[in-house]
Amino acid sequence: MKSNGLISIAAPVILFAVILSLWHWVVQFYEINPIILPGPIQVARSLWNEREVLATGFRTTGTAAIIGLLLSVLLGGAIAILFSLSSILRSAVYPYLIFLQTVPIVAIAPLLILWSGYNFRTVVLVTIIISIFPIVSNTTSGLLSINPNLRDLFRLNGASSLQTLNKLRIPAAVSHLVLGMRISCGLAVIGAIIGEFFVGNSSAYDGLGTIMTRWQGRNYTSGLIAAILVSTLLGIVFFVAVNQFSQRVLHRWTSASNLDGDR
Amino acid sequence: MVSNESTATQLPRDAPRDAPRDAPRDAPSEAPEVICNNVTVEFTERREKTNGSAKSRRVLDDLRMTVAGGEIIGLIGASGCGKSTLLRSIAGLQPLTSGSISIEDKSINECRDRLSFVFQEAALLPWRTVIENVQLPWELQGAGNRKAAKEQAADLLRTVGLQDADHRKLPSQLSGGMKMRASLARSLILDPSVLLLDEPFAALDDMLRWRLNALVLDLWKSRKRTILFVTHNIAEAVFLSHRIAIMHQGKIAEWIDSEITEDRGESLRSSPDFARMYGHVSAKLSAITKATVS
Repeated sequence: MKSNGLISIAAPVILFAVILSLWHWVVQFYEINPIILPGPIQVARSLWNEREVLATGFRTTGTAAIIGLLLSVLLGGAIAILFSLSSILRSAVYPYLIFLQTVPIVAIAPLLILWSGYNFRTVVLVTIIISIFPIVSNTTSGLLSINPNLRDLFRLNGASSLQTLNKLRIPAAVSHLVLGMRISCGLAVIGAIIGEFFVGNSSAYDGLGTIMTRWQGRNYTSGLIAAILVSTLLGIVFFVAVNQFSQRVLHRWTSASNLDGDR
Repeated sequence: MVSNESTATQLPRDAPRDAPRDAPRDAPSEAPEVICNNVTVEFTERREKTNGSAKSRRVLDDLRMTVAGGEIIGLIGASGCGKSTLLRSIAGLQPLTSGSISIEDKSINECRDRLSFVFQEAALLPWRTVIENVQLPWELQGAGNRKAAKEQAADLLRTVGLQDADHRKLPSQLSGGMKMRASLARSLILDPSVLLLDEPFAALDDMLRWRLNALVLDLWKSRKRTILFVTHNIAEAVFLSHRIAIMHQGKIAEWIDSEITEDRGESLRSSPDFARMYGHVSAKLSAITKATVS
């Protein structure tokens, strides 16, 4: 068991070292132009030199993604509850949610900027649009797929619609909401960065997306790769945070669906 | 006495014996009589299964039954004969196509709070602790003081054999038998007059099933409520029932009175009376099924 644990830690570390070495060797051997592909040492140097700018970007993009995700959870949860209460409403609105999901966000973003401006609010709006669908879809499914025996138990005891919603449907949907959040947390980071690409050149904004746009314009490739690594780190932090929240705060509601055990 | 009013090979059109035998001794007045008057339930089959035309299937067919207050009735029969539908109809969970069901001359809707139902699975809310699950009917029916409910729930859990340490556990931390005990405790929290059990021990092994059978009998001895239960297990029906109703094609094809008069302890299962009764019920059930097949 102990050796298994050691292997599970050592294996990815060794693979990472192999990839870095290979990357370094390829760049050196083929003398690749650093504007096309800088070596890992150069990227690490940029990561260190630009640490303050990247840390600020991490905070700004992280804040936009967190706010966008939280608003998606609140708004998506409310929409899901309304959907569970009215099949007519569900039939009427659901196709438009799918439409919202399928329209490329890059096509909507200029319109959002026109309406909302080159600011933080637009980034949050893009984040919500990208991350809300999995939350609505999963939570609605959780609210509607109730064990028939439990439904009968509530009927037998003369439970009101509000009691059934509060004491049965919403608690039963928590594990589905968490599944939706797991998908949406990655999408929220993507949404924030895409939003920042469009808010872009505004010097007042300093998110990771804006930094990437700026450095791309300067052919600062090693900085660009460093920013990509920081964005990835942000996505991982979000995923771990949602998992921790699910395990520590929502454990009671998620334990039965084995959400904590399927990682 | 075993009912001989109908033979298994010649099924009567109506239930052969729908009147109750004398109510068991010591049955208190709170244990109500349950009467089913010409109950018919039809299910409409889905159109795609019937080539586009809606087709109805009669699950309960003009069924008549009278259960005396304080009686334990075992409902047995082949799958699909309408046992669970009858139980759900009595609970008010299944709308009737025609006929009526009354409890002490009142409709189901008027005395819903006097009924309790135990499902085949424990049906506990996984996010609530065991004691919170037992308190649930109390909360839903707004039956009053929360502290009193908690105390009563704890007492009931002890009665069904769940120790104090188990009360704060989540259902996922309990074994199948413990979950069923908790489910039984929940069904008793509002002190129902009629207890309906739909194959509650079907998923459990024999030893556990026997222990829980004994528990049901103990609960009946201490509370003397009217109990109707569905089972596929003849031994369980013989062990628990005052009368056994063999159901067939939506009717009660045969009533069998229990010959067992002695105290129903664990020793009963190895007694000649039990073996004789088991053989008799098996033969009747088998004959009824074969008669239809032939």
